[in-house]
Amino acid sequence: MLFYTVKRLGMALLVAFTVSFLTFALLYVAGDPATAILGPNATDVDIAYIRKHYGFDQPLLVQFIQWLGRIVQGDLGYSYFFQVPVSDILLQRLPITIQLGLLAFSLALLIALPLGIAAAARPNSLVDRLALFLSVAGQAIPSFWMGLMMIVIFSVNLGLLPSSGNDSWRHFILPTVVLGYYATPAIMRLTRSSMLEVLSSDYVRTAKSKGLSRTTVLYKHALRNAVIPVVSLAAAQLGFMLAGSVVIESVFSLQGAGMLAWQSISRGDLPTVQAIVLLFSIAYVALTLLADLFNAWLDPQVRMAQ
Amino acid sequence: MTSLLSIQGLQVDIATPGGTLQAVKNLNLDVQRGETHCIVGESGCGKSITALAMIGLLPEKARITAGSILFEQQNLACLNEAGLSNLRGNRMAMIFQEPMTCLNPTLTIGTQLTEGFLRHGKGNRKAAYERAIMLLEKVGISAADKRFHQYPYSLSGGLRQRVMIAMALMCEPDLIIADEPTTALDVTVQAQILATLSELKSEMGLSLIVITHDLGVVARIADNVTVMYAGEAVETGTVSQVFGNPGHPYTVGLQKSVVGSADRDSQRLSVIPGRVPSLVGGLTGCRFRNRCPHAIPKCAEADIDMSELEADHTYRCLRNVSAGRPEMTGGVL
Repeated sequence: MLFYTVKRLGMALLVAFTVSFLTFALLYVAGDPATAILGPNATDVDIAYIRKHYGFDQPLLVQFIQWLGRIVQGDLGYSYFFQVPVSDILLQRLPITIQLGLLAFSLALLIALPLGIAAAARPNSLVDRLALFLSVAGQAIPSFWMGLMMIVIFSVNLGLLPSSGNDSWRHFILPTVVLGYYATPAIMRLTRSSMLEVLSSDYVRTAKSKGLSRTTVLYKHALRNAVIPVVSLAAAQLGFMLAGSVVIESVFSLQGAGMLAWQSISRGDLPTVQAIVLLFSIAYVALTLLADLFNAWLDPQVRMAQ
Repeated sequence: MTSLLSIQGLQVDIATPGGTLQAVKNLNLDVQRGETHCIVGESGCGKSITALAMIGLLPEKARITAGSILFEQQNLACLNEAGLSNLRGNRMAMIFQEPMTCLNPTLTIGTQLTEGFLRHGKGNRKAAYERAIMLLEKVGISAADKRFHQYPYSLSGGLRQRVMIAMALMCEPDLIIADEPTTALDVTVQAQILATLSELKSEMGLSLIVITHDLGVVARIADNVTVMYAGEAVETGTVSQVFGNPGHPYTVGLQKSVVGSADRDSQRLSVIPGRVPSLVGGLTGCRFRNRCPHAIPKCAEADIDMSELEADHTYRCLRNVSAGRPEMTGGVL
């Protein structure tokens, strides 16, 4: 397990390094950064000054290493728009996004796993049909539309919950439900199909032939194997929910990082965009690493593979 | 003396999109204590379904529609799931065909060996561990303690099948059903596994039902044999009776199609011409008649009963074609 962990960790670091280089390059792909800061009417003198001031006149590699050195120390750059360090803004915005992501992810797992297992345990039963209905509906309904409908029903008509902002836990209920429901179908369908496959496997038959109870067969023998592909999917989903809640955040006016990313792109605030892309990419890499380690713990064959 | 296992008029139907398939029809089978009984036949003849019916693990689409399976006077065909699961792994155990896929990849050998023992309340963890180690050694696995803590992927097919045998023996069952236990293994390993099985059987005084298509296996370990064709038993008796004096043309055909039995003059292996009939929908008459060189119109008219050839040796054929009679010596098959 130790060998595997070290190996996977090394790979994750390599990926993170590559990602950081790509993120760094983002600034230059978008055009001359000095012009971007100063706008189209800048004089040559101003541009030359900014180039020197921000170090844009250095070779690219030197700039990258300097930039990376600052990132490692927690300096994510200086926002063109807010005129404050990017890390200050992110410290306000990230907790909201992380909260929303984790809440929605937990909700999705709480619905998807039990329903998926129950559906597989009794295919074509009432539970299975209900699960199918829920997942088809979840996949068919766009989340922005569902968000708006929830606001119409629960905020406007019933007046039960606030429709926008992030001042209290009550503000998080509607966004959590919408984002969680969005992530549920894929996890549930995969849980069901994976569980069905495992339940028809030879080793489950062996387990039954030992006279083990239905519950033991289901949870001890089947689930452990069936959940392996689900773990990878769930990790990707969580990464997606952290990075991709832009729609939900804007529907519910949550001042999260997703919203910030979208606004910064339209404002041309490249250091902020860069920092968010970098953070989310590294979160993604970290989640994948965690999923792999969890799977290695579940599956001895993965763990021992040299 | 009452039999340990007595199957009477067993019928198993499988629901298929094309209609009901009669997988097993009117099967009678008796297994005494200490007996090794082989059920032999080609793929799809219903032998595996019979085995699964005995232990109550039929696939969902299959159903016992008639007959009884008496195991120590208890009718398994009427027993509910709870009653069956108390017997399974406890009084009767099963060894399956595919050792590579029959062990759970995510649980250690030890966990899988001991869980049935613990489930049936045979003792505590320590007792389970000791019995598991004892049995692993008995089935010929060296470094039993090391293997106990390993996962299946580090064991070869032969070793895994030995583990399966040890697992089946954990609760000292009265009956072990082995479904093609050696088919997936190398020839040399096959012989070792069979030897281990027979030794343990005599040592522990248990009964063994071995499902196989391999007549070599039958000859090596069986006391009695039942030949099945297309869901029906076509001949049953002791090994020497059935192979020495076969009464059914299908038994004769099977024997002739074994490698090594090839006709010395032609140096060619016999095959039984034609194919197994589809078992979907009602079938009347002898199910082998379209492949049988001795078929007469009467074979199609009505289902044929088992008739006695000699004591304890019965066969399902209208024609008297046992060895020594003119029809058989022609070697038409």
